[in-house]
Amino acid sequence: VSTATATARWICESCGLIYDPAEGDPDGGIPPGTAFADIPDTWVCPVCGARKRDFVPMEG
Amino acid sequence: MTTEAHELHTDPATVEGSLGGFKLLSPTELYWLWERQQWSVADLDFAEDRAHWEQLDAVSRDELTWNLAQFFVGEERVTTAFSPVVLAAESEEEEAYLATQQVDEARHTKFFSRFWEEVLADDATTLHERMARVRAHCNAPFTHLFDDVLMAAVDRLRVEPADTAAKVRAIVTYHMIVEGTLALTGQYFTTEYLTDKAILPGFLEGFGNVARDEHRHVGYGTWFLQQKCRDPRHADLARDTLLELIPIASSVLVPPRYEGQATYEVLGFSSQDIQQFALTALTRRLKVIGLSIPGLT
Repeated sequence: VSTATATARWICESCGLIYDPAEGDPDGGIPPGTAFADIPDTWVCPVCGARKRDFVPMEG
Repeated sequence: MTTEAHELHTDPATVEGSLGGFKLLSPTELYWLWERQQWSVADLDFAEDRAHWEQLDAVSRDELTWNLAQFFVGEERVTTAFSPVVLAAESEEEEAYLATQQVDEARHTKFFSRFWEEVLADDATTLHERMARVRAHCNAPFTHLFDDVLMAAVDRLRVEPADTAAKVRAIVTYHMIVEGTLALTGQYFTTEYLTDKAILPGFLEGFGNVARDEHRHVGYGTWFLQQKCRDPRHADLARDTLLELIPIASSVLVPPRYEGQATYEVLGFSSQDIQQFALTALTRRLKVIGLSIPGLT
């Protein structure tokens, strides 16, 4: 996994929530520093419940 | 984590709505998202679904029918029940978003109706007749939640559209319990089941579209409550409403053949898994809103 991939932010296409690897999602069992690719497929958006596959990479 | 408009118009309300690191999309941004996420019930292809349905064993068919019947009836009920929520909009921007949600609910009803007709081979000649048949599959807690609790909440809003307390109760009931807890949980496990079995591809495509719409709706409800629950009176009301409705919602998830039993199983998933998923989704969302409910884990 490249550095760029590991630090890339992803956005929920359903509600706009952004997953930032630097912050992770501790309440969802995802420690800070976890790349999006390493999140389990069972993880869901904490706001709207969308699945991991409903997130897309953020540009820029 | 944060939320922000992605390729959408920015709105000051997004920034104002931030709390604890979470920034939620404003109604204006949700409206633009809705425009980008259009879909058509008529475009779905149910050709393979009919054959798959016929090949299912009786138990699986019964469990799916019960599960999907609740979605169908729920969508039909909220299509009209949503009108008072639209009328209670506090800005033109919110009004435009809320109008899109009402259109979504009508589209979802058409989706389930078409599935019932073409895959379950229901021969009802009107939606009214079909709904009467589908309602027979719903359990008593479901009927109480939709016919009594939800209807009372939206009717109060219809009478007093400027009453913020009435709107908070309606949004908690509708967006947090009906959509954010029951619908999202049902969608998650039903999608897992159908994907694992590789069946009903036409339904899965439409159901995925329905779920995406529901996610947007829940995003609105979370935004609205995050704004209003800054007032402790509204936070208390939201908390009390949740404590009142969570037990009812929990009972809605129990299939009729397990009525009165402490544990159950649906589509191969245990009651513990299902209840835990629903509760986790709700509690995480409440944290985003800024609401805590002691004892709710």
